[in-house]
Amino acid sequence: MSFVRNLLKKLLFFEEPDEQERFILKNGAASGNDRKMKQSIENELEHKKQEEGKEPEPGDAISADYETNLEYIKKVYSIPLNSDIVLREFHIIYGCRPVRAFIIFFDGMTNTEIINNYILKPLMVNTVMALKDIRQDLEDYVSRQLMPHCQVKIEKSYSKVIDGVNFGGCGLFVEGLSVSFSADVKGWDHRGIEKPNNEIVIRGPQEAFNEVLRTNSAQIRKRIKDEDLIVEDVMVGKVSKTPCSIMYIRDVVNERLVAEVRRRLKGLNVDYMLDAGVLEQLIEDSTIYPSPQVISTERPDYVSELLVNGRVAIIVNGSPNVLVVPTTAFDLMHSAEDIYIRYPYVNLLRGIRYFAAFLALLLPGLYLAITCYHHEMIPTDLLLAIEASREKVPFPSLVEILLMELSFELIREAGVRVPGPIGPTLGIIGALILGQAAVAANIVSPILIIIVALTGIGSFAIPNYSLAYSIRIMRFAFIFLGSMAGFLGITLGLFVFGIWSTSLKSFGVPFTAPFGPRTSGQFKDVIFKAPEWKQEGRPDYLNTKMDKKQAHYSMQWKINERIKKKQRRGR
Amino acid sequence: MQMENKIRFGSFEAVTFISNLICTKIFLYYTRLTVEDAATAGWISSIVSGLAAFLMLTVLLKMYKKFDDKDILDIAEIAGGKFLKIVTGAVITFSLFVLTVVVIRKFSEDMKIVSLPSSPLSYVMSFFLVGIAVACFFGLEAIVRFHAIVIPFIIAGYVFIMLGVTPQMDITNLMPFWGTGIDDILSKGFLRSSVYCELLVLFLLPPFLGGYKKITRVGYTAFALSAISLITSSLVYILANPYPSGMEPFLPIYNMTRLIAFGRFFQRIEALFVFTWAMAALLYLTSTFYFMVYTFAKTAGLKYIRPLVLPFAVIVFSAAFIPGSLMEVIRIEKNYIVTVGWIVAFVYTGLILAAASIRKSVRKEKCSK
Amino acid sequence: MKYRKMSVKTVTVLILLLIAVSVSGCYDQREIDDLAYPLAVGLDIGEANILRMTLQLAAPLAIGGGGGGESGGGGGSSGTAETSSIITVDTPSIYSGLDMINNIVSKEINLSHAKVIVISRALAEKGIMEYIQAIQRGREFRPNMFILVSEDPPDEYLEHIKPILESNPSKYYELLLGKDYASFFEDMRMSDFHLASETDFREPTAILTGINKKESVDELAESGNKEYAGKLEGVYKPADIPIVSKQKNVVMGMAVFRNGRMVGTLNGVESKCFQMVTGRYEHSYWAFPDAYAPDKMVVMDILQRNRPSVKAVLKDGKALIDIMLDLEGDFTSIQSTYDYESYPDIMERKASEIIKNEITTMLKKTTDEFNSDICGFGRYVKGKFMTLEDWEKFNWPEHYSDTEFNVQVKMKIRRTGLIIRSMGHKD
Repeated sequence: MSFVRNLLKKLLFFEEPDEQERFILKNGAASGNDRKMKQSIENELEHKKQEEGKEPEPGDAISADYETNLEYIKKVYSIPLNSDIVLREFHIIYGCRPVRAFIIFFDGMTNTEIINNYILKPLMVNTVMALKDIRQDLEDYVSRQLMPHCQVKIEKSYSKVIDGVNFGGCGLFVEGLSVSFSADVKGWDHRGIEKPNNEIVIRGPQEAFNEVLRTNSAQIRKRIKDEDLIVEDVMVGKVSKTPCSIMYIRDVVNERLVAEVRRRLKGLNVDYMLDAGVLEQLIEDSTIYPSPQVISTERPDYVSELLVNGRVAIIVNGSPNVLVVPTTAFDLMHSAEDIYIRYPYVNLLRGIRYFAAFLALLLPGLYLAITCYHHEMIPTDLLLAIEASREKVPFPSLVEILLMELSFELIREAGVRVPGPIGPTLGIIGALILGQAAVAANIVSPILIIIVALTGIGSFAIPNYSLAYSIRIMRFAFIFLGSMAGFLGITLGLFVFGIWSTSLKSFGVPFTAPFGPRTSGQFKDVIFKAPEWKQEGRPDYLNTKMDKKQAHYSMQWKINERIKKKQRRGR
Repeated sequence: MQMENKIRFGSFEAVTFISNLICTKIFLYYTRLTVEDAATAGWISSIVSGLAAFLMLTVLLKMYKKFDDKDILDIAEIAGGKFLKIVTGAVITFSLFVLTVVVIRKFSEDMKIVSLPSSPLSYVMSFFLVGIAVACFFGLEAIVRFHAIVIPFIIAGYVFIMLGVTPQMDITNLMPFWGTGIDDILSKGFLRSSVYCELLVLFLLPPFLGGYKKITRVGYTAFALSAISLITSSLVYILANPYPSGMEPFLPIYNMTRLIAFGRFFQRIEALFVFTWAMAALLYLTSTFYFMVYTFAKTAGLKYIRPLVLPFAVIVFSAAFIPGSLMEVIRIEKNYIVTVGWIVAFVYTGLILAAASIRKSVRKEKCSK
Repeated sequence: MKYRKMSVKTVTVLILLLIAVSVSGCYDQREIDDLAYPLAVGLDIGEANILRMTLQLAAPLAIGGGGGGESGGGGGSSGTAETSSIITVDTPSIYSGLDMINNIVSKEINLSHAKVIVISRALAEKGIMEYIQAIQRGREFRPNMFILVSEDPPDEYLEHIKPILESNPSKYYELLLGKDYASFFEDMRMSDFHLASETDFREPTAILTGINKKESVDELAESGNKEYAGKLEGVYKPADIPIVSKQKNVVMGMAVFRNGRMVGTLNGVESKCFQMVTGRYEHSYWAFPDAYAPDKMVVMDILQRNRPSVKAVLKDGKALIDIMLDLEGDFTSIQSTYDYESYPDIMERKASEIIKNEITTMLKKTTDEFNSDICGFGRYVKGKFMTLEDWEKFNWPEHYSDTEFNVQVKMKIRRTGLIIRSMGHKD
């Protein structure tokens, strides 16, 4: 009841909107009038440094007493109820006396070879051998001499050690030391680097992301060998503590954008965040808008290209999809292959994609509008042919189209789950047979099969998977509008959708950017693509620090001596 | 008005915005109007009205120079205090209201005749109103940006129509050259400068555009674009339709589109142009409706305009049914809007600007004393 | 947060509106197979009422049934099934007739695919302006419908339309009437007719048609007179043309109107001249008598590449019109042995002489017999007046009969086909 009351109140009474300001990506540090923003990366550096040197909370500090540590760890990890946690107690010889110590790690998440050879062995065996006079501090001695492992951190608080152990680390507690050593010995089984499944290109690298965060960031880093490429770690999720990375190129990207991404990621008050898909829904601007507002891709080469243009990438551990923000409507029609193929083919393919999007969205609606309202537009031959074939069909056009569209969607969805080699064939053969059988049984007219098939094929030709989904949804709206009022209804649909699109922002960038607010700039890759040697400028709407990424005469081998002299003089 | 002040848009959007406001009447009645005025010299009359509007616009913009960044309501406040602001607000709201009502009625009748003959008028009108209401909810920024995207397509469609009737064009249709006589051309042409009456919206834009320089640039560019479109539409229409039959059709451009036929296949494509007209109509109606509500809110000192959208939509809907028949609407249009519009748009604005500048200089003198 | 609230409101309002709108129904939605499409409309003087209207309804199953594929049992794939059905009704007006027919035919009549309107000669002579007005006012009628005047009553005429080379009568009409390589009639459309009938500087014409009832070649001898032999091929009326074919309807010549009434006809050759003068002539074949051997013929393909230049001069209320035609010719057949390819100017002169005479005869016919300015010379005279008032005071239709013409034909023979010089044959 209160729900109904609230709904009525919302509808009938006006509420003052909140004072929240929507984020607009203004011109960045280059303008120089916002000192605070300018130093946001410096701020973040300071912030991180402080965090590292922070003193632990009172209840969280590691005590020097061995028994306390042991009891605490046993309690926290519910030993011996938890079967895959391993607690190994041993002795370290320090001076001439044995010092008690234990390590704690998860079986299955760690590489036990490394633990055996590079943690236990030196601690247990080498200390026997070192009979020299040891005046060093035990802590120093252990971390600097006894642990030949490349990633060891000294922690002062329990929570940090526990976080490390939870993610495949190994914690070492030594009697008498009020610090603990956390070594990163991750070693769980994971997928190797494989071919991309969903974004297949003919020419171009065939590597895709896998589920390990560091592998993914390394794949990007090995393509952009720039020291200014920053991989900033953020933990999202209070319980799952999923590590995510924000990647950006520091001297190109607009700092406000990075600050906004950071703000959105840190401002998530959730317990679990498990995948990039979940993260996308948590940080996007508009939930109900049909088209996606972030690019989600599984190809490292595509992410590198986008980063170079001044965008920010977010990698989530455990997900092979990487999110790149911000995006505009036209970017969703680009594919990873566009920079690898030549200028004539690229533009032909782009034209075909837009045509495919148009077909997938509007063809059934237009068919309904024309055959129900605008009969004079159809050539007479076609009209009489349609009429002859529709003579025996019992349903009106709208019902026919809905039937066929819904069955097509059904076949598609079913084809995803059928195992083995039957899967894809089921889709094609099912559609064909179903269509022909329906025509033979006089349930639908033959021209409808063509329409539905073209619509389906058009939606497959759209490069971005989520965008294809959204177009599939919206085409139903256009079917209804077309059957209600012909072309007027379709125009109304396009108008409402257009206004909704232009009011949308994706991380501060207007969604219809180069055409919505008219921005100038030399970015020549919006609808059709200029050749690669002409791609001088970065997109203007990203307000990057550096505008150009190519010289005006990028093909130096082509120009002759006269122009070279002019260039030299011009400098 | 804190929210509104943060909205800014550029000059390309503003130019397309104002050009669409003025040029949508080509799709409705403008070419027939010129032929009714001066027969075969309708295009000369169109040039005369363009010139007259240009002169008046120049005078207004020159007077506006010292009021950098203020819109007409603020200027009215300077001129005569709150009272004059309320009067100006009422005048602008009422004129935009009349424009919206007449155009929505005209376009719904238009759609009824072209594609939906047996639907009731309220059904067709509700389509337009839903579009208007939804667009006003999204805000001015979205509306203006959408203009920048779509108007080039509408212009392309319009150019296509003009080019498509080239086979029917005949230069002798322009003879006799002076039509109904020079005095008719001049007098009617001057009156018809009211077709540019939507330029009064230009003076509501300064808070969004900013600055005298931008306003003049936008004003002149939009005016040039619309003047060229209006004059060429009139010229092409007279070339393609010999004199008496030019006055017959209810929708002159629709008639021209019906004549486009290239070969056996490409015939009777006027339904395609329903897209162009319906989109131009929706954009026009959204713009006038939004500014009507905005002016009303600003005059009354209201902070938010979203709660006003639905009531005003209902008022517009009911008012659109007041004229009993289509012929009455045409009569209202001819006798009132295109005859008196220039007074409201240019003369009234000029008076306000003059009064304000006089007040300002008087105050300056007082201050300097 | 506020955007989520706003969108709930917007969405709810929209959904309510949509429900309200769709519950009230979709008024204009008509399925294609709920409509009947007449392909031709016939108008005649009625006996039981003012107007006799004939509709030729398309029968889609016969026309398009072959395309159904596996849809079992479409209409016959051979041409024996009836591709159209004729309905005739006597009615006070066109729309009343549609009303009456709608009460008989199972589907609603939709006129948006009517390609042809056939008017009987009797009705045309009585006056058709009222029907032309009604047709222009209706949104369904196509403005580029062909307008035909038939010597025989339309219901009989439409019965004889049984296209052999096509399955669809509408395609038959478009191909027959809309082509530019046939010149015995002008491609006259409804919008053109309407415009011409409303203006005072031009009068409309319509296509003349009729039924040719000859069944066998024995009847050919009766057609026309012997004096036609050797004459130009177009001087026939539709019913007289010496052709025997399964296709019974013939299109040849034009009907001339004045003030909405038919006042006469032009035969085939005169129509050719008419098209030359108005600049709408494309090309056709003329058989001229040989200059040196009068019993043989030289057949040429005459084309008009440039529009004719027309100048008008007004002198004491009379108009003097100079028409300069620019024609081109290609030799297609030289039956005698004379070497016309090397000396084309002989035939040029002869041919232009003949064409000039034909044109002058035709123009004289329009001024003397019809008194109707079908070529639209008023357009050129109009330019001499400064304002509309003066032009209307002058009243051009009254002065047309006094007009004098001065026709000049310039012909240039350009090509001779594959043979560059005929080497003669044994005579």
